[in-house]
Amino acid sequence: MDKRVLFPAVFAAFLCIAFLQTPSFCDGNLDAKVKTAYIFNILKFITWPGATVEDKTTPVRIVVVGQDPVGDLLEELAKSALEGRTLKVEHCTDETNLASEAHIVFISRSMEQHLPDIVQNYQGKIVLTISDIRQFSRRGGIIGFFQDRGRIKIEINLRMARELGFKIDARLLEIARIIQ
Amino acid sequence: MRDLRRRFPWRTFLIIVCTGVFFHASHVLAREKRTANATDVPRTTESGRVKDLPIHAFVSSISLEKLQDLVVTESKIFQSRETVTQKLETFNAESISRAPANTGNIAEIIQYSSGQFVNPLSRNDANWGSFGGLGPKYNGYLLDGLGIDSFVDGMSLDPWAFERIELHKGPASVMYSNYLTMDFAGNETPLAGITNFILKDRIERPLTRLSIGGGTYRTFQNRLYHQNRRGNLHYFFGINKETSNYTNYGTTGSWLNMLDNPGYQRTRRYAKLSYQFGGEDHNLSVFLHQTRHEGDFGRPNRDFDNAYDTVNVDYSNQLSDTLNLRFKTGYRDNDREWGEDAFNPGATPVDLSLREKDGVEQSIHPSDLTFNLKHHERGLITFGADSQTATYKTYARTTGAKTFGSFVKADSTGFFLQEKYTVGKWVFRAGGRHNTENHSYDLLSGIIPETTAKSWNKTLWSIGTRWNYRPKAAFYANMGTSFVTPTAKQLGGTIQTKDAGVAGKNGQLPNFQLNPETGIGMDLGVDFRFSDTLSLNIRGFSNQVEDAIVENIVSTTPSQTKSENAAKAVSRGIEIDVENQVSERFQWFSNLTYTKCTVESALDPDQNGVEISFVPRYVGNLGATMQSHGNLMVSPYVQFVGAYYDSISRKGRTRFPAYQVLNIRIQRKILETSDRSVNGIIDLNNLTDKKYEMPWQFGNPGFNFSGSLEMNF
Repeated sequence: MDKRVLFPAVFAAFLCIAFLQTPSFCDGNLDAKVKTAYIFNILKFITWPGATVEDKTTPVRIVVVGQDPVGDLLEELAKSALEGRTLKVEHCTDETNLASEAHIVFISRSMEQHLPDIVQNYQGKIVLTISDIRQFSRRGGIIGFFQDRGRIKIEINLRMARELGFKIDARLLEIARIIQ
Repeated sequence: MRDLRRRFPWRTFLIIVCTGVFFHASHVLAREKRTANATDVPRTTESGRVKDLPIHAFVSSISLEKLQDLVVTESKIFQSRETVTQKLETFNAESISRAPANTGNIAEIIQYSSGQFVNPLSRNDANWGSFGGLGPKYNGYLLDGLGIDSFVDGMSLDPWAFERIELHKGPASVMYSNYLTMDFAGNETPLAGITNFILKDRIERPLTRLSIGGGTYRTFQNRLYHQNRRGNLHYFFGINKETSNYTNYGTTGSWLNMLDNPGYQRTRRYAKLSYQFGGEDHNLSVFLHQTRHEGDFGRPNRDFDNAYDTVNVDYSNQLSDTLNLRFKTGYRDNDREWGEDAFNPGATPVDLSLREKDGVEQSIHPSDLTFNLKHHERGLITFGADSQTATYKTYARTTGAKTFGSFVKADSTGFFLQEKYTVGKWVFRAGGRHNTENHSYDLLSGIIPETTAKSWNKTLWSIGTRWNYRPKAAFYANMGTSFVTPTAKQLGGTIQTKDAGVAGKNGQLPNFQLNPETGIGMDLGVDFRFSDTLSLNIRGFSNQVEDAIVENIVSTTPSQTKSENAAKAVSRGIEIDVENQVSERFQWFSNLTYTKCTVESALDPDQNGVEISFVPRYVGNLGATMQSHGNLMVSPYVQFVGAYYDSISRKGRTRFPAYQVLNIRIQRKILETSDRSVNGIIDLNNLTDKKYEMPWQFGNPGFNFSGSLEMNF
């Protein structure tokens, strides 16, 4: 065989054999990991009124409403301090009995049908509400996750955040889709 | 074109692309819709795959910038990719570690990207490739946004210090100035693109990397790297040492005439300190890098001793919600010295006595002050000023005292302004730059020239747009101008006019008649993302340079070059890139760059219609990474390079025929826990043992391999 063709042909055959391997590509856990990483990173870029969260000795209280892998990962994260910061995670599955004392409330997609009640419950309270429910930040929440070109991104209801006294770092605003 | 049809394995290329698309499509149809996107976080860190890390380590490894996959080069502030009008490629820690490397030049990391030809002549020499069909100097190399020398620093920097590499293709002449290097091919301009090597900055967790390895030519390499943080102080440091007997890399009968192995020793030391003043957007960092590269060219009195120092200082502060300040300054000092003997090919008896020591001393001090102002929610103005000062000296030493050949100083000042505005799915970018450049020539080629100083003022512009038509399709177009002055080496050479054709006098001949060159570049492209795992990018480009300064090889023995103004250099080309992640354990890519570049010179029939030197007609790449369940990762990369020439003189040029090179990197995870790992790495370079010729009578020595054991803890 012509040398010019030999090696590309071998390479092509190599590729074809590899293509025939059975794919194992599903990893739903990554989705939750990414959202958990977002929540932890967001802590660094938001100032709570009264600056209680900036004090790293104070645990950040996170309430997870509904069943969600993000809640499990946050709980895992809360087992030991990370970058000098400790989390305190509580789970709540009853939308009629929501914890009121929290820095962050993560609302699971499983609670979408109860969203109006949950949002109503936290209205006016200094609580950062986060969810991956569709159009969350347009439906009374502050930070919502959405997918864009296959990538998880965030949108922020800036007006609501500012009304509650949250100060959001410019770098976070730079990467977020802003809802006014 | 006929040459391309004849030599490029089109059928194989198309078979592979079509096969990949077919299998990808079958997987898409067969599987349920995924809820997660496995590509939306960096897939690995130095110590393993990020997505597989336990949640503590995962969160620690992922910054906000990484989550969003932001890029910094276009506006000098983090931006999402969808707002960048140029074609953009990024190389993260994984792709850097995955790509096979041969000579240790950082340009090799990006050699499998489209639109460029990477061609390091040896482990002891620089990359003489080409960008945008124009030659080696039409791409701006940056280190954290501050200019570096694509020739010198390419041989010097250690990739373990890099967080990622951003590769912008297309004209971008506004935000970054020319780099005033006088050495090698001279001033570098970002007409065809920018390559930004971005250093690690914010350290989220401690990590130590230790690597011990060796390979053919009795090559031994030891590397150490450590990163950590103490409160607001983030730091990393590294040291590595490579020694090798190496091998003859000259062609048969070459002026290099190596009588023994050209052994070398390369030592690198570097460190970076980064301090965060409370907020996430208020930082000061200092990076120091030093390389010492010494050895010989395989003859008794042909030794060399090169020292490269690189310093970067970076201060950034988010002054308000809308205003960001960034100040950078740096220092690059490149000292090269080598021995020249009395060897004269063909003469008897052979005289190898030391004739003189020749050297180059160059220092460059670039600075940049940039403000970013956000306005009206969708607008971003970037404005500021930058400057450079450069000194360049060449010398010969016969009895200890230096006799200077050239002594030149240069400085430049630039003011730039760019506006970027997003309207719905459209992004518009427009900007301008005004540059002032001054040269003073104390000595050129050993004499005080008639003209001892020159100044230029030039205004450049650049525009671009991107239309994010659909999530799966975006179109973009860019246009920009460039202006490049001749450098001291091009004007004064490294040898004198009287040395032309004189045996044993190797180097660059002077050409005092050189004029500055002006250029304009444009591109048009489309970026398809058929799914999370399959993308296709097609970009057409056109670059035109008036009075292009081109390096011509005027003699092979002695090895002599001369810079000349080509009347007009025109390059047009097309790039096609396909990337496909077929499964969690298999991904592949392919790209093809076809370029047609010619010199148009009505006054010189010898140059008119010939190809621009160092630009292959085509470059094609195929690469894949396969991972078995037993933690074995195999990455075969093959490159097809079309024929190219070393001169724009039809009479005097040498044609370098097409070749293909196959490199394979094999990695095996020997041990892995949540916080430590041991990997074995084997590089099989030039597996088919192609001993092809390169310019200046250099040759690829053929197959070689290396192996290393890498520990991360």
